[in-house]
Amino acid sequence: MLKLVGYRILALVPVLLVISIVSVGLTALLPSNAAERIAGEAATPEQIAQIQSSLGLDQPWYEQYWNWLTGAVRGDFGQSLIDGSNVLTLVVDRLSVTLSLAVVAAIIGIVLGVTAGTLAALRSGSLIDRAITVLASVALAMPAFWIGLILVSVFALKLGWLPATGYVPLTQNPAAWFRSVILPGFALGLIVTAMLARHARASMIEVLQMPHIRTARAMGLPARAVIGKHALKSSLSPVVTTMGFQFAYLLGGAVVIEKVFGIPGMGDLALNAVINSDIPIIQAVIVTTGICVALAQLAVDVAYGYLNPKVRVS
Amino acid sequence: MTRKKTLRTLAASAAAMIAAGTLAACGGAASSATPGQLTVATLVDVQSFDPAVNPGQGQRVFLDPVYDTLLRTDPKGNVVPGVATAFELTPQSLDLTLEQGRVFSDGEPLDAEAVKANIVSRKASAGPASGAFENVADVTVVSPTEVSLELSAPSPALPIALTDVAGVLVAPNALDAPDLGANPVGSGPYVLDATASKKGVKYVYTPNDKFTDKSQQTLDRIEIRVLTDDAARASALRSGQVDLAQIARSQVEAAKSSGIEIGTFPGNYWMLQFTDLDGTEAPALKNKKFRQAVCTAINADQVVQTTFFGHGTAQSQVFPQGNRFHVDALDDIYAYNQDQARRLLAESGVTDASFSVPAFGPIKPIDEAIQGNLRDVGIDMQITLVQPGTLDKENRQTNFPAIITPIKQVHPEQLFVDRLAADGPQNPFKVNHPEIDAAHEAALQATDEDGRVAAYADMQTAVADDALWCGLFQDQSVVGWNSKAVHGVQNTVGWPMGPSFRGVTVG
Repeated sequence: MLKLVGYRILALVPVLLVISIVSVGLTALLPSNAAERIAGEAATPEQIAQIQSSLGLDQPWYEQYWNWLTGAVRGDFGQSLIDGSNVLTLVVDRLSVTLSLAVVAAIIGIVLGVTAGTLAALRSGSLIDRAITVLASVALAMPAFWIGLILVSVFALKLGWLPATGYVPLTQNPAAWFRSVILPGFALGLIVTAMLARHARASMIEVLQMPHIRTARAMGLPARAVIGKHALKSSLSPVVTTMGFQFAYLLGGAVVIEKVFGIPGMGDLALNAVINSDIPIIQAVIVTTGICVALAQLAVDVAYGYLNPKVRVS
Repeated sequence: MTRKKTLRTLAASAAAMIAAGTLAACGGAASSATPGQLTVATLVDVQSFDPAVNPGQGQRVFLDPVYDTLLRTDPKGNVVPGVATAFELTPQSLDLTLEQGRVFSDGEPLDAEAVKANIVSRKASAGPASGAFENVADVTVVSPTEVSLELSAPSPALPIALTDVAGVLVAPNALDAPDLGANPVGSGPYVLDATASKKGVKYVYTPNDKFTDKSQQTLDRIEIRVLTDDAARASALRSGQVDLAQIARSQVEAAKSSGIEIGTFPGNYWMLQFTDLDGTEAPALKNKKFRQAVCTAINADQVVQTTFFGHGTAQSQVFPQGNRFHVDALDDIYAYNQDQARRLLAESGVTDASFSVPAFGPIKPIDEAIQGNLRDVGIDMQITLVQPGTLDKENRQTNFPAIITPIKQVHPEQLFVDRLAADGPQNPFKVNHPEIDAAHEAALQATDEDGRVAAYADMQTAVADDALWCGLFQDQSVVGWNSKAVHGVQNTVGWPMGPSFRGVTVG
């Protein structure tokens, strides 16, 4: 298993290199640059050229990329072109917020989704099963931002139970952190819940019909042990695979949810950076997001190996 | 039995999680106003605390607590004293008399030397404020409280420019600091608490103990939160998380229903500017009658009602009634009249009645409303989508023959320098206007203010007669606040993101 992890981490290097080159290509497509943004609406070409020169934007793209790359491998992602802020500090700060939100959404999705899917499978064909199936379909059809707006309207504005906007770091106040992430986490995690519920249901129904489950029941094992120890573990493999893909969705979906709930995460940072053509921030956001997605896939592989011994052996 | 137990366990787990969430949630969320502490939500982040690279206007909400300006504007938009208690403008110079005994928050004296250092530094930068000092040939320190700006050409707009980022005063030792964009040092009533602030998230200000005018320093703490989503900002205000916020026009009724006090502030002036006046790209625009037909076909009032929820005023000229540069005769020069527009279009003899404009997100509905007006009389205005944030750039380039845009100019001189002069950055096709040049020259050579105002009126009349642009409307910014706690909110002209917090109290 350690070998697998080691290989996957090594494989990240060329992936990140490609991502960084693609990000440079994408930023080259931006219709304006930071110098034009700083110079203001009535700027003359001379003013813009002067600012471009001071920011190093007049250098060839490959020189700019090389400067960035040599800094990035040392952990120096440069400074914001707009106000000189340290990019690494900014990205780390915002990434912790987005990851926090994505993890909460993932936990909500896994706990509720697997629970609902398992319940539906155990009562296959019953009213509960149909209700869960219909609710999952409805949840999949609802956009996350709309769910977010409804949650704010009910739980923040009508009932006053939870904050409408904002984020409190976990290290600052765990209870306040929980209050600040529960609504956005639920809004973001609902679609994951629905998705996992469907997969968990189908997988569990299939597993329950397998010979080893029938054997376990025939041997008189209690239902809790049959389902909790044998069936659930076997049925989780496709759920884990789905969750791996869903994590990338959660990072992307967090952009919208962060806006609805006024949460200062990566999405907000990326959006402002694109509007300002703040290239060092854009590149850092793309690369760190790539790292996160790759690590999530690695975690899926590890979990898959745990759940399925055949994979571990191969 | 055991299967039922398993089901119960699973159901109990789910219920426990929901219950835990709900219980934790009951810790209370909505905060009410704390006396002496003002929490504000804004639509956009501060670009930089360095006034040399900050575009000013709406951004002054962030700068004003920390920085003083040489001059200020009153609620009607008139230039009034700031740090400069008096000023005298002649075609050759601008003499400023400074308030005595002022110091910056780092202890440096705010004297004539400090003012000179700021002007020299701002002029040398290539940022938005540098243009204001284009005609400043030299800065002379006459005494510790007197400074004189020698002008190479008459600069009637210089005083109004000194009310914005051009006139912002930074402590001289901080002028060249690499972190000025994040750590401002000024002489305003508050200082930025860099430790409590977080870029792009919130900015916390605390009282500047070197500031002596307590009538302006009325708060113990100001926190400006950046909430870019309209609904999130309104929700934060309605739930009591913030005390004052810029409200999207679509959220006004919801805010009112929650007991929020709503105030409207004059925002941006909008125009349809024809840039390709020689007809290089769009031949129709060379024809004066065609341009007049376009202006006459636009129902600006309808545009305000449909796209701004009525928060604006149709206005055919840049300067509103009550402003000294307003020209009464231009009020109805292109009053909406479809029949008249069709007549003018027929008289123009134009065969290809079309032109294009750039647009993105929030501008598009405005363009579409105008597009509908023009289509009704047989004029085809095509809308081409451009990337957000590039409208300014398009206004400086020749990609489009016309543009519908909010403008930042607040003085006729700025209109001339930026949009009418042959080398003006927003006259991208470099079109000459001899009659307008003559009126402008007369304004510069006027020996008194009345003569200058009359000459600028002639200039604006020439612009309107030739229909170089169609004046559309002035929009309004909407600001909401918890009036039970927040007092003293005043109209601050030209600050579309909210008022100055000087003199505002919470309690």
